[in-house]
Amino acid sequence: MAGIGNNLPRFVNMGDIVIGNGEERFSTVLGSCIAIMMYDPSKKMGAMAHILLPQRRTIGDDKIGKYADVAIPEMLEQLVKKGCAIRKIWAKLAGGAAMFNASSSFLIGEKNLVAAQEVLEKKSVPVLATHCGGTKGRRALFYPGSGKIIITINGEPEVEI
Amino acid sequence: MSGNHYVINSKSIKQLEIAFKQGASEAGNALTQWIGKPISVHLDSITPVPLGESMNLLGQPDEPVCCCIMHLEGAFRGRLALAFSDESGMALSEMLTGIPGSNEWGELEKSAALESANILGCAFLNAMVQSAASKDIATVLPSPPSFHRDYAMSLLQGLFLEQAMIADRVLFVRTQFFMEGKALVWHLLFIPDTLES
Repeated sequence: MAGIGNNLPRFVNMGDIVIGNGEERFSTVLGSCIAIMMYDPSKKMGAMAHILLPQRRTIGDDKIGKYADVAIPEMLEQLVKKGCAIRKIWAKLAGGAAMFNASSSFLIGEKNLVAAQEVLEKKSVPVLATHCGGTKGRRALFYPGSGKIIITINGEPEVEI
Repeated sequence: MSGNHYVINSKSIKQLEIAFKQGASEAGNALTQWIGKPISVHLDSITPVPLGESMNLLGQPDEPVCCCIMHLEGAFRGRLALAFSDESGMALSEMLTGIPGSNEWGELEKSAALESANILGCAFLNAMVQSAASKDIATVLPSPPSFHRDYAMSLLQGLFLEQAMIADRVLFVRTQFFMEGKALVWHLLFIPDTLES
């Protein structure tokens, strides 16, 4: 499923943060989770995070990629370390569906989206596009070397955002 | 139990195992009557696993699967999900309706799947309640099943979300189905809301 060298996109699991450029591709599958994709066009470098929840729990969890409030600063830090400039970075978001209306996931998708947007605004990172909400899962394919993003909902034509 | 969450420890897992073996046996009997062919249901695993690993439970994350989901309320909260591939679901529908050759999820096919999930789930829960030593488990209120067809990982995110909010590992109970000795590609997942201890 994953990896450079076998021509398949690298799969980004829940809580992962990845950075890349060139010919790499990142893919993930989303329900109530959100994929945060950032891109610096001047460096042709991008990052993808797959967050589950809006805020980090207080009791020891060091997988910061799971939470919007800490994943986004971490993504920016990693991009800046690679030479990207924060003022040139943009973000796009996908996911946040309400999968089942009888559980917490009914609301958590929307909360994830709101949390991600708030943190990005605080960091002055413009959100150029979103493909969020609804009741269906999504597959996201991100080209970190070009910023291209393809979203597919099962049974529907793919769309570029 | 702790509030609305089940506490994972060796004792509680053993209790679950006893309850679910009984549940699996009754579920097999109920399905045999419903479908008219001998079906057996076997407990496969009760194991806490890291959240990331749980996303492959139903095959490739981006493969579409079908899921009939019952939400459990009362003293014991969680979700019961009957998951199956399109092919397996259509075969089930064909067995029940006698109408061959369908390859789309119309109302009839969904209804056959939902009714099967309802019969299976209720037999499972009744047996579980009867065999449970703890009175905490004795009140389980299932919702009517709802039908979903989506990417496997999208569905699993929804199923495991409650656990992911409070723990890094998730607990699930998985069963395997056999019809006339042959394994079926159906999975019954029971996903309690849990706390680790």
